[in-house]
This record gives sequence, structure tokens and C-alpha cells, in this order.
Amino acid sequence: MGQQIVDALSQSMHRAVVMLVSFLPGLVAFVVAVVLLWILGALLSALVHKVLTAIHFDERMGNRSATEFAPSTSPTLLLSRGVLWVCLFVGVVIGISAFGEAFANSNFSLVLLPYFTHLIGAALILFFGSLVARFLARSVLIGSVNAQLQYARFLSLGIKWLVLVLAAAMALDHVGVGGSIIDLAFGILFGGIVLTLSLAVGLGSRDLVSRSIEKTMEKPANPASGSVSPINEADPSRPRLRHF
Amino acid sequence: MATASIPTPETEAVPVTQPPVPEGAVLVCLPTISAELLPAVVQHLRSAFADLPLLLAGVPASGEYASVEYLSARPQLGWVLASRDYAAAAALSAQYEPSAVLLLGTDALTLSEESLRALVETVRGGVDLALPRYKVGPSDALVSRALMYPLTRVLFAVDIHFPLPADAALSPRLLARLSFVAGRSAGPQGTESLLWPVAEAAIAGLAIREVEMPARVLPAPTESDLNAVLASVAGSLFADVEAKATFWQRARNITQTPIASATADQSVSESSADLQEISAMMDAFRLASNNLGEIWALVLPPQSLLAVKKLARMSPEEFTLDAGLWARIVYDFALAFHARTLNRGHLLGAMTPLYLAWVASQIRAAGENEERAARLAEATAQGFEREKPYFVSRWRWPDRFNP
Repeated sequence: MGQQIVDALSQSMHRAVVMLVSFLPGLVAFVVAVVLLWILGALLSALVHKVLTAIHFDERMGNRSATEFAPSTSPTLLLSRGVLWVCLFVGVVIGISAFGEAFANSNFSLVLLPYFTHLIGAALILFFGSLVARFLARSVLIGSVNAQLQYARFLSLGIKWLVLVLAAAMALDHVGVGGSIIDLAFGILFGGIVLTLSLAVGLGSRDLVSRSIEKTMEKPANPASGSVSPINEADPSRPRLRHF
Repeated sequence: MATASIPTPETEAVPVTQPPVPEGAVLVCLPTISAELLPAVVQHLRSAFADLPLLLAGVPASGEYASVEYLSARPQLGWVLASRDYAAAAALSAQYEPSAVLLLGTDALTLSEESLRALVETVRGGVDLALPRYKVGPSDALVSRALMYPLTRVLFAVDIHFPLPADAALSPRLLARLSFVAGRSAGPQGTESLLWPVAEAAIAGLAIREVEMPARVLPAPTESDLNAVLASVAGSLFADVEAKATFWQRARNITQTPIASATADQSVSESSADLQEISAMMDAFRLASNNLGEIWALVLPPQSLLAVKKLARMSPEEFTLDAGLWARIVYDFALAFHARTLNRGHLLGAMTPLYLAWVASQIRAAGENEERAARLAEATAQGFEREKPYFVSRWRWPDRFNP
């Protein structure tokens, strides 16, 4: 009995050691691939940064819309960091392939690689989703405040969560988590937010809309260029404040 | 000597023999003018410059005066001179070598003959840029008083009250420089960018003069949304300030007349002010203060943010935005624009309620009194001067210097 237990334990230990021996080279190959590509990425990134700085890339880009989502980062920095991350991503992919190859009898990389790429895709969706949500939320907040809408913050929060829920649902769908539950939950949440916003805006803006329509009805046609009459200070229709 | 003609359908049918362009003529560039007003405008100009050789740009060919084709940017912008106006005028200037170039805005007919002559004579007298200083009411040209005049005066050491002009007289050499800058800073196709001739002339060391003028119909922006126009003007101004940082960081003094302090100026009775109008602007400011605190906190240092919060709690009777605080707010927004602290569109949008607070404070203090409004504008400019070291320090060391 005792001998059998010892045999079983030693066999288990043997299998564990065999497993470890076949696992370690794969892990080393993974780490080496990632580190190598990371170093390569850092070098390429520095090179790109230098070249773009030399050609005054930031000045040439000006304030184009491409940089508007990440305003505190210059286009040069964005591109050079992008190069680094692409290299790192390639390193991880190569590392996973090497890891799979190192396993004697498994199709490890065939299973892990698609899942890993989906995971990266989902992370990117979430990342860009949160950027877009923040951008839109701020745009709506500032626009609503300047239009003097009392529920500006509520509107902004609604837009933010609308985009975040959409991004989260897309990310979960991308990695294949949740199945039809995600679709159902997303539909309920999204519909709920849209309905709430519609009711809030519709009920809250009745006065604003009617005022706007009244103004449009009363507004005279724009005078043609060059046909403006001289200033008449006593004219009550003349706007009291002239900003420009 | 060059002779020019405009190939309009009429002139193709019956060619008009134009008088030759005289040497050293005054080139007058006109905006798009309706056909009914054109004869009156031409007559007005010919009468103003009766003893000077004249070359009119932008009017149909005629046997009575020399004229050339001129494609300005007015259909797009309309209310101030834009980079394309300068570029188009510079091309004509290079071709015809005038002694002075006069660029006129919409409703130029409301400018008196004496005013037009004064502008041109200033340039013919050796000055490179002559800009009009229109007589305006206490509630007019508020953006100029709040932003453009103080910033231009403090950073470029030039006392010009309308640095974004609708009319201007320029020397050909300044025009050539402006054309070069316009070409370099051209925006995407279809958009029209603003140009700051005062700043360009200042950094080139060229002579600038302001010419006093009677009231004129100031052309209004074609875009009626204050937020959009203010963002476009402030954005262009901040970009120009950013581009010329090496120039304005050096200390420069400007001759100024001492006036009473800003606090004394603002201690006037509000009986003359329109409290209802002030209340409306204050409501907009309070709404912004309740909602945009998070965004303002990214731009303003804690001290200014606290002062803004206190301001939002003031009643219309005591509402006063100190000149120093307003100057620091504008400087902080210019710094955030430079540092790209947040999206530039958002940044400029978040500035509008603060500008409305300044307008409310200004109107409350000045009422309908023109003299008081002028003193307040001077106090605002002096506030910008006092706070310039703050701006320079934060520009140079944004992280180290953050009160």
C-alpha cells in the first residue's frame, strides 16, 4: 500500500517535472521575444521621435482633429509611442507562437493566439470607447452650458454612459463573453438611457423650442452685404451689447 | 506702366479703355459690394483722394478711373480682414507698386473722407501700419476691450485698440510680410484664417499708428453664435501668442497714462446699468460655475478657481470681476491652449461664460458712461500688465510655478 502511494507520488512528481521542463523553454522563448521586440520598439520609437522632431511634425499638424482626442500629447509623441506599442504587440504574438512551439504535444498557440488578439481588440475598443465618451461628454456639457440648458450635466452624463455601455457591450461581444445575455442587457440599458434622455430633453426643452420657433418667426430677413444702415443709437431694435 | 482691365461679360463685348495705373498710386482694395451701392462708394473714394493717384481693386472697369480685379476673402468671413485679404492685396501691391494700400471692410461708405485720407496719409508719411480707432459706445467692441486690446498692448507693447481691423492702411513691405505669414499659416481648404497685423508689424520692428475716427458701422460677424465667433477669435489670438512667445517674453514697456485703480473704477453706482441684462449674463455664468468646475479646475490654479467660485455667489448689485483676476484667467486659458491641457475646442468653449462674467461686471460698472467705460478698458489693460510676470513665469515653468 505504502509502496503504491510512493509510486503514485513519484509518478506525479515526474509528470510535474516533465511538464515544467517542457514549459520553461517556452516561457524563456516568450520572454526573450517580448524583450527583444520591446528593445527594437524602443529604438524605432526613438528614431521616429527624432525624425518627426527634425521635420517639425507637430507644427505641420497644427491643431488637426487627429490630436483632439488626446490633446495633452503631441502628435510626435503619439506616433512614437504607437510604434513602441505595435512592436510590443508583435513581440507578444511571436512569444505566444514560440511558447506554443515549445510545448511538445499541444496546439497551445492555436488556442491562445486568437483569444489573445480578441482580448487586445476588446481592450482597444474599451480604450477608444472611453476616450470618445469623455470627449463627447465634455462637448455636450460645454455646448449645453453655453446654450444655457439647466440639465447640461445630466445630458452630458447620459451621453457618457451611452457610449461607455456601447463600448463595453462591443468589447464583451468581441471576446465572446456572455453570449446573448450581453445583447439583451445592452438593448435594455441602451434603450433605457435613450428613453430617459428623450423624456428629459423633450419635457425640459418645451419652452426653449417654443422660444426658438417664435424667434425664427419674428426674425427679419438678413440684410444684404453693404446695405446696413448707419448706427442709430436711439433705435430700440439695435442690440445693446456688441461683442465685436 | 501697367494698364489693367477686368474681363467681365460687358467688357468682353465692349472693351473699356482704362486710364493707365499711375506710378505710386494709392491702392484701395474693396470688399464685395452690392451693385446699387458701388457708384456711391467709388464716388466717395474718388472724392476722398481727389488729389492722389488712385487704383481701385474690386470694382468694375471704367474709363474714369484705374481699376483691377481683387478676390478678397469677404464672402467667407466678412467682418474683419482675413489672411486671404492680405494675400490678395499683397499680390496686387507687388504688381503695381503703390505708395500705400488701403484695405476697406464692409460698409466702408460710413467712413468719412477725412478718416480715409488720414489713414492713407499716415502710411505715406512713413508709417507701415495705420489702424483706425473708431469711436464706440460703452457696450460696443467688448471682445476687443476684454481680450484683443489688453493682450496686444501687453505682449507686443503696441497701444492699438482694434488689433483685428475691418479697415487698415499698410505699406507694401508690411503687406508682403503679411502675405508670407498668410501663406505659411493657411488653414484647410475652404476655411479662412485670421491674421494679426499688429503683432506681425511689432515683431518686425515696423512703425504702427492708430488714427482716431468718428463712429462707423462696425461690420458684425456673419456667424451669429457668440460661442463660435469668440472661440475662433480667441483661438487664433492664443495661437498667435504661442507662435511669438520668444518675442513677448522679453520685457518691454509701453507709455501709458496713469489712471485710477480698477477697484476705484468699479465702485460706481449701478443705477445706470441694465440690471436685467447683467442678471441674464450672471445666470449663464452661475450655470457654468455649477457645471464646468471640473473643466475650469484643469485650467485655473486653485487661487483663481476659488475667486471664480466666490464671484458666482455675488449678487448682481455687487458683481465685480477684478481686472487682475480677469487677466490671470485669460493668461491661464492661453497657457492651457499652449500646453494642450484639454481639447482646444472645449477649452475655448469653457471660456465663454467667464467672458460673459467680465461683460456683466463691465456693464454694471460703466453703465452708459463712455468715459467710465474707457477708464475701465484702461484698467483692464493695466491689470494685464501687472499680471504679465505671472504669465511669463507659468509659460516658462508650468509645473514649478502654480500658485
